[in-house]
Amino acid sequence: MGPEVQRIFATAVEQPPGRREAVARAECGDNLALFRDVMSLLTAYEDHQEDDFLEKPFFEVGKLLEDVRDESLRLKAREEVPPQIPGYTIQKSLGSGAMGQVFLATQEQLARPVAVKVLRPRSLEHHYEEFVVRFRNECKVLAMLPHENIAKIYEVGRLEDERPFFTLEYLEGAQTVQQFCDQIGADIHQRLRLFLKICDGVAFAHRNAIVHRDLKPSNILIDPESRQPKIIDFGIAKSIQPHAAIDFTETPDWRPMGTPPFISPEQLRRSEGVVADTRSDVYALGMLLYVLLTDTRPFLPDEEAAFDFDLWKKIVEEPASAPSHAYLQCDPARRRAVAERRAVTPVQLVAQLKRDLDWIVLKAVRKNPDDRYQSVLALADDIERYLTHQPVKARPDSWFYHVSKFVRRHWLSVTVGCLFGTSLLTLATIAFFNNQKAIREAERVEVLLEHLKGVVDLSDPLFPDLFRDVTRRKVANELQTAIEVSRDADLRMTLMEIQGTLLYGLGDYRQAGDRYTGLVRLAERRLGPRHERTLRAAYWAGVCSMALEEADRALMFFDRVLPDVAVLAPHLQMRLRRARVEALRQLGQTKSDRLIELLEVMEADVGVLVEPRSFEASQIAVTKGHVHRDVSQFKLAETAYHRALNLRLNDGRVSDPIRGITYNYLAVNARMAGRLDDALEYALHGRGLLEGALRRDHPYLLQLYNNLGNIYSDLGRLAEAEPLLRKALLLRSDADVTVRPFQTNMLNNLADLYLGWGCAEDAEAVKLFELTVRGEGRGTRDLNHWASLLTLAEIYQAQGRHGEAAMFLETVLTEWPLESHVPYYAVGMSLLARSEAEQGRYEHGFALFRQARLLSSNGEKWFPGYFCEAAVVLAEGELEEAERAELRAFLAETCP
Amino acid sequence: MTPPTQEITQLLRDWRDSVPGSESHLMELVYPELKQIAAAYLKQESRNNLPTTSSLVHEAYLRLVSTRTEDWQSRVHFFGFAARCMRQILIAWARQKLTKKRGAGQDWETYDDFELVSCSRPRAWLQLDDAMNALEDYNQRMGRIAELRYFGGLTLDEIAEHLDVSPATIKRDWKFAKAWLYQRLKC
Repeated sequence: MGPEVQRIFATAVEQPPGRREAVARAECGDNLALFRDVMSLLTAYEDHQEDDFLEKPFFEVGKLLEDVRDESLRLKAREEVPPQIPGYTIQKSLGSGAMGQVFLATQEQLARPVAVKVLRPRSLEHHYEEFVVRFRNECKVLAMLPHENIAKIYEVGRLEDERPFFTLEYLEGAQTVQQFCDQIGADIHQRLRLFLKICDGVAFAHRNAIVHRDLKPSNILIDPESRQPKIIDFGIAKSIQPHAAIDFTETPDWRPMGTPPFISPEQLRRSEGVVADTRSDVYALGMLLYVLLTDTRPFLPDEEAAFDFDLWKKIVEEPASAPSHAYLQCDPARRRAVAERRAVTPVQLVAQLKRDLDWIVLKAVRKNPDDRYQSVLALADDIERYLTHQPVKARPDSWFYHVSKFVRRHWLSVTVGCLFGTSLLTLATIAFFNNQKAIREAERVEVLLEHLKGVVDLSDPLFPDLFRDVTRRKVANELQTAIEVSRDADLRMTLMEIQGTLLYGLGDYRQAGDRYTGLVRLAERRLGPRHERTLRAAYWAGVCSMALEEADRALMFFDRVLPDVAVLAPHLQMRLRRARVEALRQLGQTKSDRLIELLEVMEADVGVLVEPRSFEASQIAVTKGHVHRDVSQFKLAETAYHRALNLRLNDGRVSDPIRGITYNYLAVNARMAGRLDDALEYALHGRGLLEGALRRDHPYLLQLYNNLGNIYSDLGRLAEAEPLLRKALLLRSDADVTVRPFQTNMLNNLADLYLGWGCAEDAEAVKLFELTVRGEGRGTRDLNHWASLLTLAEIYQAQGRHGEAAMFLETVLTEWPLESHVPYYAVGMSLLARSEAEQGRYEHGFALFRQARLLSSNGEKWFPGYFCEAAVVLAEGELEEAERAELRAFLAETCP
Repeated sequence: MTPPTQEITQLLRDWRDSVPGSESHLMELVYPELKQIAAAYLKQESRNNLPTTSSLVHEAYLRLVSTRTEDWQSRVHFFGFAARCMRQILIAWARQKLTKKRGAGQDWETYDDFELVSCSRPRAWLQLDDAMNALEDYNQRMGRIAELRYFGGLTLDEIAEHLDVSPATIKRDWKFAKAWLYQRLKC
């Protein structure tokens, strides 16, 4: 159907129904086919005049858009006009928030300045009704709370248009508490005294069963005359009485009420049924104290930071670091400035914060309300104790003392029978990290442990698998606090090592890596560079780098340990050597033969150093599989992976996730070998083992989704593939950004999928995005980097943009490091060969093709599909007969 | 939590200007939200007392892009983008529905929220989706108009604004597109 059809249809359809055919006939003349096309369209159009379902849109938002636009214009106009209130003269606007506007006014009768708060004009805003209720609540709450540290309310009323308003005392020249302290250069004691007055106000509200829920520096003003703090803005306050006279409506779950970092974890977890109470204000006060003491805000290194998922997660999960620690993290200039504003030197300030004040703040801002001060009075009381040089109650002897003692006595030498390992360690851990009662429990366990034989120590390879995720997270968080407050370096090292191992098990590789790197430095300083603990930490730091796909960095760590490897426990020696080979493989500069050689030497050593059927043996098999796979020796790879799987299935200590990921290796291999049905079976099996056992965004699981998506994609089941790939991507970006490189691989796969779908433009868009992310995120130019560049070339080819493809490939191949990832380099050459041929440069194309084939010296056929595609195009071109014969032979032999 | 507003506004602009990568990035940010809306819509078929889907899209906009109501331009673009997402979500869902019915395939993504829905619609959507794809092959703009109109519910004037084409052209194209789609769906 050409444009002619469109033109005639457009003319005819504008006629009354009865005349359309005649008009069409006249326009078409004797072109019958054209006439038939037009009539067919006209009939379809007329047949649906009654049932015109395409006019019933899926979403009728057009109307709504208009409403919103009109409404917003109207509102803007209204908001600009200050309200008229009899008896008051409005002077100026003081500001506006989501709910209301605040004006400065003069109350004429008393000639005094007042602040007038007016509800915003009615809007289409979904939550307007709720605003009205909340606004009224605020008046009632203020009326209920006459206290010298709470803003006074004078009058409540309504505007002509029914909007409620109320008037408040106006503090001329008032500053926020932080501005005030900084301006007068208040020292720590003055700040604490001021803080105690704020506590007074909050405690008074609590006695009247009101929780403020939005305490923060900007909601605490200082009256410049009396120098008294005044708490303002009870807009989201809440009654904690069961049958409150005030109707406190809750806002919808998605909207957090409060301001980071002062908002408590439970306020963010409302959707999980967690309720805020007076202890949420204790948390906010703790954070306020934190800021008053240090001028730093936990979780918010950048004050402009968006309230995004990362921040949410930090507030809910990550323990705040001790104030003294946070202060020390600032740059020296800032440290000096902060100390100066407190009339001390930086060293003095740290000394003041350490211990008591650190403890008080940390106790107030615990994640779990049960672990905090149970009332504002208790918090205030402890500050009084500090000010009067009595021992504070927050002294961490309650749990930390016991934990540290326990850990010191047992973690390093704890002996546990393997069979009992999981349950006992878990029990012990939960027990002694929780509370007093549990500590007694732990002491009971401790007695048990001493009776057991066998060894599970920190260096146990399976140690990370011994806990469930929840327990690990909990313990890792608790340890953070312990590490912050611990002054005993030896103990701190032990705690750091445990924490690193747990974080690694959780898949938080970036954090785990940071922890180990810190540990390497500390251990090096205290114990020397060749001490076992230093070397072990370096090994783990390398393992984390591997998981982050930073093979070059990992290799640095491994090479550093290698000369002294014998210092390590035998199984760690094996693990280090195999991890080093894995790093070499990923860097792609070592020939596969050489890698296999190294692995075979290790296989021989396995029997000597550790059990022949140990976990280490299975790891060696896995790497062997990877090496074979890299050079398209899929059968050999399969054998190796199967060996690993067998070992792991028969080893009772290996967890399901480890088995699951082994199935995934088999699946990847089968997919690359073109055995898609097998691949699917393996992958689904792996999924069964991984899902449920791991949190939903664990890297293992994402790898599996990614691969399963690829398999479906290859099977042509694109509709099934896309959600998996997308899921992997979305979950990855939801989770902490620790493994960014992995995300780029998923983008690469999504691009592949779009390409398979025939949406080359989408593929290109995704691809370019991926390359940007890659460029930002990593220094290593590893296998994935190069493979990914080749995909972009394929996308150009799919769009027929062979000129661009060729230019791009030439650049890529020029930059390609010699000797690195040779099979992929050959693929690049065969792609270039094809693009050259497509542009009629057959001779050059053929030369490239031949060169690419010669790269595989031992006659292996790398990625035959690419070579076949090139050969097909070349074979049609103008070439010498001998060359053509060579291509024909290649096609007959290699290509189906 | 709400993704950073400015980022979405900028991405919408980029997407409108066909900046490479902006769509996938935008998808990442917006897709989960829209999926919930689609789920709510599908439930609505059996229970009519829920809020209308358009108000849900509106709310999504407020959540994701802005709590103020002045940025009218980006709102149109947002709805344009929402139309594309909705189409993808629903078609993916419909495909899955039909696959399941045939007893083929694995449980690859649990769209639990959608389970309440009767199965009358999926096939029709798939056919419509196919037809729209074919229309887009025939004439890209017409395909886009149909998507914006049917899956996004934009008025023809808004579509004109979104695509930066005169309203008269959009009106003419839409009539032809409808006839073309109806004709194709008949066979």
